[in-house]
Amino acid sequence: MTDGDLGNFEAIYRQNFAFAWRSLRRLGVPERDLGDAAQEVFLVVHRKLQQLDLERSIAGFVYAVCLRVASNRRRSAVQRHEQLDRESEPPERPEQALAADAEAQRLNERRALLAEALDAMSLEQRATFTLFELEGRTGEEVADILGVPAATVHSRLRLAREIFRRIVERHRAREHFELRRVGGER
Amino acid sequence: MSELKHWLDEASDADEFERSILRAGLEADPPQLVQDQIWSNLMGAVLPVLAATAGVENVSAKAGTVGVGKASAVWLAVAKGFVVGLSVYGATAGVMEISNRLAAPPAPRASATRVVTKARFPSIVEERPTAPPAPALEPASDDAPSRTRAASRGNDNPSAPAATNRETALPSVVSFDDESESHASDARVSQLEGETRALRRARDELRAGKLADAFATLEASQRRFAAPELVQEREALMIELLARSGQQAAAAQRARAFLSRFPESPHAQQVRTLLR
Repeated sequence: MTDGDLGNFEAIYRQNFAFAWRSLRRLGVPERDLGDAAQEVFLVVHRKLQQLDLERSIAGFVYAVCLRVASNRRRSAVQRHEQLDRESEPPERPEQALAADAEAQRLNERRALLAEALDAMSLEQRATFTLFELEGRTGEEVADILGVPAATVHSRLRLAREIFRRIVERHRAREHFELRRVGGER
Repeated sequence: MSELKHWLDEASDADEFERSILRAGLEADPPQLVQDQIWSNLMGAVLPVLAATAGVENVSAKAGTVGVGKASAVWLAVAKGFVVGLSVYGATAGVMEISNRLAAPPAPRASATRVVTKARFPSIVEERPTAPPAPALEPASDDAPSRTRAASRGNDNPSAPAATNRETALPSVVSFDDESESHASDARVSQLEGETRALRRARDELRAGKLADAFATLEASQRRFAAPELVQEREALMIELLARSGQQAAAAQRARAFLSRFPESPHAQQVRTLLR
């Protein structure tokens, strides 16, 4: 380990921290664990620093570590019979203090719906969906980051979108039912 | 694959509700404070390794930290004036406990989870800029006189179509206190006030990194003011928001539409910058 390595590591950290943080969150790491998980990711990155090809996509490597960390945490959470996101969604946000604020409530409902849809996906589908739809990456970039053929990305994205739409349709049906029931009671 | 459109792109086959759900997931990046704290922790873990090869003093100076030790309580002085302690660094990477306290008096230690939890959401970022730059809402100073004149023209002729003033009036030059205005003008001013408030809120949320909140505020404004007075400002803000949230394609599409519709807008330059 040299001073140059430390400089490289810091550059990698600064350039990829936000991406890793967003990725871990979108891969289902609970809010309360994000700090620990991000630390774990960059400890691994640091350990592998010597083997990294700095000319190639560092983001892809960081994301692969995020996937592994998220997967391990998901597995151990299941073993502990914990529910991943639910207990912290919505978290202790200032919006809670503004429960009467319809906009904040609507936003929280949509976040919960998104979390429900993402939870219904496999980790691979979730990674593809969030990289493409939320991170705004192209299909080729997603394929590069995940190290899979473009056709696989295409297929995973199609399945993930179907799951997303199924959850949204179910939500709409529930809302419609609720509205009719309330209307019928009047 | 390249022919696939992102659902956040308005030209995709996703409907508006589906897009709004996705936008709710566009949380902002973590606050800088969290990034700095975790970097300090990593240095606490990494520096002992470095110290073995390069000497603690040299390495500590490089990392901007003071005093490092493994498996013991250490405090890392960070330039921002707070002290972060790494109390445990064991064999299990990632299971770390951070203590965070101000120099005096010492606060009770909190776990890493706590520290991060407190700063984890963009809405927790309390340091809003006291005088935020407002490219989307406020005109460049060179434009101010012409805008004032435009606003005056609008006030002189309250029966003129709203569109006359819509493209020119800006919150910073409109007086809300002029009692001589007609009721119609009052209504317009009232709408302006509401729009201004909503846009300022959205802009502040954008500046604070609360992207999903900013989207929600702009959406609410769009619903409430179907015929906006500040359409340019709202659109410029939306373009910036899309760009900041990584939706480059959607931002570029909207930016082109904006420039075609308002080529002389005072926001045109800013929008062109986002297109590059």
